[in-house]
Amino acid sequence: MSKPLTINIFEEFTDIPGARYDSEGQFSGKSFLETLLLPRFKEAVGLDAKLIINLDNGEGYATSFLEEAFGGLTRIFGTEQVLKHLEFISFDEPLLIEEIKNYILEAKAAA
Amino acid sequence: MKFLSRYYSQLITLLIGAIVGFLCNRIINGAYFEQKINPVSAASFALTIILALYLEFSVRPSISNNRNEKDLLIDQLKEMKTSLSEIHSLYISSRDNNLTSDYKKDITVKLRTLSNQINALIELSQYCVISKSFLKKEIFTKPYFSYKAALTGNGFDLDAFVYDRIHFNDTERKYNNLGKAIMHCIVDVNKL
Repeated sequence: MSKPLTINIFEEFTDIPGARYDSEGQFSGKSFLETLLLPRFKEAVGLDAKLIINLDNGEGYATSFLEEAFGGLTRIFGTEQVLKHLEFISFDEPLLIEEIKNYILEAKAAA
Repeated sequence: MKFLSRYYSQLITLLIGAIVGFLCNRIINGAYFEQKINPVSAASFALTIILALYLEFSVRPSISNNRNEKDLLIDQLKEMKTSLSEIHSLYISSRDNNLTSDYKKDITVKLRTLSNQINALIELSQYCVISKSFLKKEIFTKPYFSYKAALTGNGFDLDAFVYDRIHFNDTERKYNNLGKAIMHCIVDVNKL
């Protein structure tokens, strides 16, 4: 595998992640998926690299944001591909990683 | 050396007793030990010594350690219960009203606190001997994720977001599930 790519949500997106859709407020999960996660993930897949998502320093994540972003990515690429390429850093809230992985696994059924 | 320093006074007392006993018949006229050994008394003496050593070195440390570990685990569980109650109070107070951004922020931050308390409990339980095989992560993570989804899923960030009656009842159930998991765990830890 190549050198890993990274996304730092606090630095590159926002410190106050919103809900699911833009219609529900700023910095939605869908917006994160479309502007940052999806392009960077495609790049990681193309390079056969890991994409490391740093979740620290934000105000906390609503379920709807996480489900739309990571569940949404899984609905496009499939569980296997997503779990193969994504890694997470969350020192602020370690259980967040397990929560996201649950959404990735649950999104499989909807794919 | 640890044994000597810990039981210094008892050993001195034992030594003095042995010396007094040995010299007794020489100092006090007419005092003497019987020149025979009763097997029952000897066996009783040996058993008493063995039992005393067993209680001191095996049972007492074990009971003491267990109590300390139980107290630690129960304190952590109580903190979780307090955080959960705080979140629920916020939630109840916002019923039938549009949630302000301050409420939403408070709920998200308090959920993160609860999440970290659950994580701390799970890590703590791995260090405690009594709970290593007892506390399973899923006991708390499943109801917690479910409760969080009920509170912050759907249109949580909408300006006009309200916890409607359907959500209200659903969230109440999930709150109760997590609360029950915590309370059951307190009872179970006490039984260990």
